[in-house]
Amino acid sequence: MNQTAPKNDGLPGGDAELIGAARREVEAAKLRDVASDGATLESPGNREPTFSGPPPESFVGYQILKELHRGGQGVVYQAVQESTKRKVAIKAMKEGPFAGSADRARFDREVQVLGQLNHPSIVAIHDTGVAAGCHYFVMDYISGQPLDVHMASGERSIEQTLRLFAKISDAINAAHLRGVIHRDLKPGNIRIDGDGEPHILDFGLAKVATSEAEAAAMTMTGQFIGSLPWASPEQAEGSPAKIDVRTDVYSLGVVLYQMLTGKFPYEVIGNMRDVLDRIMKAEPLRPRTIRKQIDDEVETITLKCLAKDRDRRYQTAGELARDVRRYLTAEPIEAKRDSAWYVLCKTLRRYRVPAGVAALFLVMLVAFSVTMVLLYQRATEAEEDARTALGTAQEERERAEAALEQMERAWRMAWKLRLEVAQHEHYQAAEWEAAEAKRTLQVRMPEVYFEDIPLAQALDFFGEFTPVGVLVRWNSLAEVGIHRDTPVTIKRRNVTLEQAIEGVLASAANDRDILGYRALAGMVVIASNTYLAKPDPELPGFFGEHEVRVEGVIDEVPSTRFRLLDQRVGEFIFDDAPLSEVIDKLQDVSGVEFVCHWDELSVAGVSPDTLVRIKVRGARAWTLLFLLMSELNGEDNRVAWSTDRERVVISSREALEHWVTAQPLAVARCLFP
Amino acid sequence: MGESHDELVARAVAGDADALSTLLEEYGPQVRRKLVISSAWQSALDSADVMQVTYVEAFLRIGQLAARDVRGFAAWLMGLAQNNLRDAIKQLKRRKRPDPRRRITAGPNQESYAVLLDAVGFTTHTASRSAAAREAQRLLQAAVARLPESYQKVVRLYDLEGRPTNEVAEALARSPGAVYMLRARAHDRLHELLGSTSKFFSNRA
Repeated sequence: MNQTAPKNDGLPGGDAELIGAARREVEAAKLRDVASDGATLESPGNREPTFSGPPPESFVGYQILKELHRGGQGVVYQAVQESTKRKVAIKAMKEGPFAGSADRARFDREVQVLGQLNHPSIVAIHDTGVAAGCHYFVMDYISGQPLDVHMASGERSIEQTLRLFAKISDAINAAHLRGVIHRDLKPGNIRIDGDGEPHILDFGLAKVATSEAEAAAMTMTGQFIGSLPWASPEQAEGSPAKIDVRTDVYSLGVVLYQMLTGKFPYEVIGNMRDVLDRIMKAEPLRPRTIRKQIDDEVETITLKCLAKDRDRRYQTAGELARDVRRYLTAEPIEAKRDSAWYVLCKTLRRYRVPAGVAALFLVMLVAFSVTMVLLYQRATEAEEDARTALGTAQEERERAEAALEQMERAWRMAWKLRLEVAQHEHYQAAEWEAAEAKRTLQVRMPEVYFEDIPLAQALDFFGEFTPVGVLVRWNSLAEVGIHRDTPVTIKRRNVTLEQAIEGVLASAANDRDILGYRALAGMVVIASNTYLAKPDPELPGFFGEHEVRVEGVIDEVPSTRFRLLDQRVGEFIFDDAPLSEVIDKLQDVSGVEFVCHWDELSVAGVSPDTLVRIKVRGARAWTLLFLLMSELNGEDNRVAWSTDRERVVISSREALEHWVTAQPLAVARCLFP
Repeated sequence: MGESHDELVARAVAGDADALSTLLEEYGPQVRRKLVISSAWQSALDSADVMQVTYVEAFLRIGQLAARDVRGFAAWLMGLAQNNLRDAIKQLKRRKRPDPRRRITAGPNQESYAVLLDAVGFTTHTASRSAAAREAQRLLQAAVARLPESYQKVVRLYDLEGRPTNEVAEALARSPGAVYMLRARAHDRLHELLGSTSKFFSNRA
């Protein structure tokens, strides 16, 4: 494999060198191009042996400066007319004396045509002659560039392009008016001078419309005439009979298309049959797709020139030039004459300022109206929304109020029910208590025989030998001068407890009405009448009625409290026993848990070792509890008890009050399980 | 340089070769760095080959660049380089003699030009075109003469004289990959020269 040629020979690796080499190579190629301009495409080495034109000195009266162009049939020289010293161009027949008659006829015709035409944009012919057997004619020398080079030399606006094109069309029109059809219009045949003025050259293919027969003789029927990319469909078709001024209009259309877009309207590269086909059939690509600045009208003008059907093109180059100028002065163009909308638009554009002011006013008016309508609608909607919202809010509020009221009603009803239940329980308890109390007092005793024994001992006797607890409020007794050791005397047989107690109290008070008793379920409370006249918060049903309070801190309901300790206990005799022992016993017989706050109780002067005396038989547990409380309190009320329905709590009164206050919920639960 | 690169691009497109050189010196090495040549082809082609042809193409075609900013220019240059690389690799992959229709027998004779014309997309064989055939041949000769020198050499040696790639590579002191690239670009250029020029179609009646 020897693919890798030595790179260092002529192949420098650095980019700067590569770029320099590439530039030199391309510039050299371009220089060759320029040097051989015109004749380039005939390779010197391969040129056919032809007559190379007359020797320069054979042009009498003219000094040949250089050869400008060597075309298909002629050679063009630049020369100076010796008499006037003006620069001229001389076109001589290439074949010279060997030219065929057809070539001669064509050459003569160009002379004749140019001689007829007198237009600033058509090169003028000054002289004709024969030099060394070679026919020639002398015409203006136009310095400058061909149209394509001129267009490529810089960016030109659509307006500039159209202005130049209108002049070209005018020149062609001038030829048409003299019955001359160019038939070979292309950028190479249009030269732009230093002032930017166009000059039409090369009428070598021109056809004189009036000499149809002559023209036919010069061209073979069906043979293609002209330059292919600019040829019209009728030229491509090879029908000389159809060639007229509209053929030039088509070629002008191709030229205009190129001037505007830099491209051909259709592909002109490829094999000739395809190109001819495209000229006859392919619709041109819309110029606006190539260059966006081209507007609808310019496109219409261009495409009208390029219509395949001759009848649909501009009918003369003059018509075309006029339409281009109409566009340039913002008048409606003929190509669009049939559209009313177009004419209106165009007129409006022409009277731009007044129309603009009117349109602006109209637009503002419409915008104002639309805005006002929109604002009004929005305001109406907003008002509606607000009204709906207000209605909804009111409904909601009413509903909420109704619900609240209902809740309050339900709450009140619940409370009421609760109260009723509580009161009912209370009344039941009270009835029960009353019945029990009655029974308590009806306890019969076979004999009661006391003679001068202390009151306390006598009362202990009742506690000891009946199932009734006797609770004595010694403080109140002391207030009326009766004490534990006040002697009593009573001798009775077969009496009720009620009669026995009345007898004892009467004896102790010396028949004064200062002492009384009150019977409760399984218990009798003995106190002074003054004491009994007031309610005793410690005792349930003391006065038959208890108010059940349900607001604020809730006290325990007595009935609940007592039902917990409703059990009857058997013999309960403690003579100076420690408190803890008594409580244990109480717990045993009642089946209820007792909780003692010893810390609190110690503050109140009570400890587990405090000695207690209780003597009761067959009483209920709560009777025992009351007796115990009475025993512990003595002269004051420092110790108290409470219950949460399950347990009994014994503590200092102060701590217990705090406990009840601190646990309203627990107490409430106890009240309303 | 106080001038922005976008302005340089505009000037280059308008025909300023200095501006184009400056741009190529700036962006050429970037493009070169981005070229990926697989190891399989590195013996037959390197990035300098690709860039050499790419730079010639840039000078030839700058007038056709539609973009007027430097980003468009860089993308365009990258496209040229990629195109060259792709063509070279495609041909290297084939690595065989072109089909007989595309081969040119000997010397710059009439027939070889006809085949070359065919190769660059111009068919002159149809009956109605036969009259133009001779003229087309002359035009092609002229068009070849207008190619840059390296393109011209490849066309003459490979297409017209029918020498194998390796020989052409040796004669030009280039790699085979470079020969394929030069040939592809030369054919493109010929196609354009023949197609765009009005001179191809004689104004002779």
